[in-house]
Formats: sequence, C-alpha cells, structure tokens
Amino acid sequence: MNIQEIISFLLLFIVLVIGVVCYSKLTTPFRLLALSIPATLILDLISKVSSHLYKTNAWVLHLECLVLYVFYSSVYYHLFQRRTTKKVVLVLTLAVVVFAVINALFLQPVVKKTFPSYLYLVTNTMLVIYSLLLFKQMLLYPVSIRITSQGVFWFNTSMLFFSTTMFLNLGLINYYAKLTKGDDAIYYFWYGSYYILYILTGVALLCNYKEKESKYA
Amino acid sequence: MPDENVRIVVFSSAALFAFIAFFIIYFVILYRNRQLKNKKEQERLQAAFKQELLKTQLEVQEQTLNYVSTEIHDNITQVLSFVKLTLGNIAGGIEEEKKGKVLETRELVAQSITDLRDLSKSLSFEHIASQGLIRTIEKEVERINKSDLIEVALEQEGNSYSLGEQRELVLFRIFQESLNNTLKYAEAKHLKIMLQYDTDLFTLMLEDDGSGFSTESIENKNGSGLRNIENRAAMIGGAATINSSPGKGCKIKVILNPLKQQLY
Repeated sequence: MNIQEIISFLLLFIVLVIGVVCYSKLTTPFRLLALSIPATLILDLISKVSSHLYKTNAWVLHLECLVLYVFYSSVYYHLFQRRTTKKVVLVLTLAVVVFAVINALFLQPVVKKTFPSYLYLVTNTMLVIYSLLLFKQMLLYPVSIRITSQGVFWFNTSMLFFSTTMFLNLGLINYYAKLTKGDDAIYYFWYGSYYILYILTGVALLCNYKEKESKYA
Repeated sequence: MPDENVRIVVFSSAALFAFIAFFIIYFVILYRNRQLKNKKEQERLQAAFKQELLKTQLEVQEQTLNYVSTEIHDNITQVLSFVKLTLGNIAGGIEEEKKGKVLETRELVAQSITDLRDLSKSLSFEHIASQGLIRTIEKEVERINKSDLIEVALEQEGNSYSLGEQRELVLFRIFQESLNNTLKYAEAKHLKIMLQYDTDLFTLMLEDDGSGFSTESIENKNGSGLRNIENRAAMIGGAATINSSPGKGCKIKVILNPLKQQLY
C-alpha cells in the first residue's frame, strides 16, 4: 500500500468516525451519505485484496461505481423537493442499474478485466446534473442559515467537484495510457479528487449534525 | 515523465479547479443575495401584516365604540330624558318639602344626560370626523375639567390644518389612550396638552406631573397601552416617544409629517 492509499484510507476512516458519532442526529439524506462511507471503505479494501489475489479489481470497480451512485442518488432523492424530480431520479437510478449490468456483461465485460469507464461517465454525468439542479433549488428556496453552515451545500459541492474532476481523470488516463508508460502524475490528481470528496463529505456530515433548523432537514 | 505531460496534468487540473472554485464562489454570492432579498421581503410582509392587524383591531374598536355611542345616545339618554320629564311632572303636584328633592334629582338626571351625550360624542367616529381634531380634544378637555379629576390645559401653536379623517381619528385615540393612562395610573394633578402645527410637522404632546414610571418596564409588553400608542403612531406614518421616570411624570410626544402619504 503506497502513501496515497494510506492517506485515502485514513481520511475515509475519519469520515466514518464522524458518520458514526453524528449518525443519530443526522437527517435521512445525510444518514444515507454516512452509510456510503463504510460501503466505500469495504469496497476499497476488497479492491485491494482482489488486486493482490487475482491481479484485477475491475469487478470491484464495476460494483463500487454502481453502489456509490445508488447511495448518492438516494441522497439527492431526499434532498430534492419537487415530486417530478424525485421520480426522475428514481427512474434514472433503475436505468443506471440496468445499464451497469449490461456494461459489466457486454460492453466492458468484467471477465475481460475492463475498467468501467462508460459506467463512470454515465453516473458522473447524472451526478453533475443532480448537483446543478440542487444548486438551482437552493437558489429558489434559500434558507436563513449561513450557506457555509449548511451540510447540503458541502455535499453538493463535493459531488460537483468530484463528478467533474472524474471526467478529467478519465480523459487524462486514456491520454496517458497512449503516450506514457508507468507515469503516475495523473494518479496524484486522481487521489487528490478523492481526498477532497472525503473531506467535503465529512464537513457536510458535521454541518448537518449542527444544523438546528433547515428547509432541507 | 515527460515535462509536457506534467504541464498538461497541472494545467488541466488547475483550470478545472479554478472553474469549479469560481462557480462555487459565484453561487455563494448569488445565494447570499437571495437570502438578503428574502429577508427584506419577509420583513416587509411582517410589517404589512402588523399594520393590517392593527388596522383591523382599530376598525373593530371603532365599531364597538360607535355601537356604545349609539346605545348611549339612542337608548340610555332617551330613558333618562323620560325620567327627567316624569320627575318634572311629579314635582308639579307634590308638597314643597319633597318637591325640592325631586327637582334636585331631576337636575342630577339632566347633568347625567349632558355627560352621557358628551361621552357619546367622544366615542363616535362621525362626530370626531365632523368636529375635527382640535374641537374634539377641546370638548374632551372641557369634560375632564368639569369632573375635577385633574386640571387639564390645552395649548395650540401655529395655524391648524386638517390631517385627514383617519389620521385625526388615530391621533384622537392616542390622545384618549394617554389621557386614560394619566387618569388611571399617574395620580397627576396637572396635564398639559400641546398641539403644534408647523408646515411640515405636526406635534401632539401630553405632559403630566404624576408619579411616572420606568420606560424599561414597558419595553417587553406588546399589549400595553403605551405600546399601542407607538404602534398607532407608526401606522399613520408618525412616531411616538414616551419619556418618564419614577416621580417625574410622563411626557408623550407624537410627531407626524402632514405631507407624508400613508396607506391607512
């Protein structure tokens, strides 16, 4: 395990502790967000074990991408106020699950140890759209709490940041795969994105814990 | 790793981070503006609601006072007039000793009728509107002075002008509320009432030499008469100030810009 991975696990562990401590006082969407942390941690550990034992973690990545998307979608499902938007989120989640299965079997087969780039692109596109929709909703119905004290703001910022950087990550990885061998500068950026995601998730959980009255609560 | 590739990574990531940071900062500013706008709107709505509530309360109060006024005028004074007439008739056919007492009683009834008529007028909106503020206050001062409860002096400065029916009615109710407070609680011997008519400022001032009170004690009493005075003054676009301290009497001042248009 290299230093980047150790930092990543350490951050995940800290956010996990925050989630466990605050869990009882969190609102439903943030409870789901807190539950996504142990799921990520477990899947990351399985990924490491799988890489070590079978020399591939592709199947874990297929599963992790889908599981996290379902978690984040359900968070957005609870945060959106319009019924239509909620229904759209629900339908799209089911559609993505179906797509993930098709992708894992036919498009980027797990048996061929293919990285699920299509699934990452689809899910991150969805999350960027959800994020922008939630920002719009926040502008339409502002609450009196300072924005930097709102868990929903930090969660949404983390989603926007992570999902958009993921496009760049994927794009650069393909570029590197063609031009270089063994260069790992892009991985610093990759890990950096995850670090920021975890930190902002932790902040979101803490803010939601402290929020007393919120329209989103 | 080739330098060019490092540059691409650094440049791309920096550009993306900058773009997201710019977006988030822009969003925060936009959100803050919305919050402020909402807050102002809420305050405006609350103020409008408060004014509407007060207006409704005043309308209900005016209706009640008009009803009491009508009852006094059309019912009680009529009955008393009949009693007075009957007493007059009785006095004609009885012996001198009893006649004196009957006539004395008749005089008392006559006085009651006059007092009740005055009271009826001071309660009636139509009467206040037709007489105007100064005349109505003068009548009220006369009535109080007759009662010997307190010595009231009325002064006027400047040439009087109409402030509009609604505003004069509210000012008269403020005057009544202040007078009522003085009579009930102040234990004052003198009350000075001043009406100042300047071109762009009207001032109504009531000053007594009573026991006074601490103004801090009324700060948190939303329903108190003194708070009502402030609210009513605000409703007609004016401002009321209440100065008092224990043992030093009380001074209530209402100022109003007669040129300022007010919804009420």
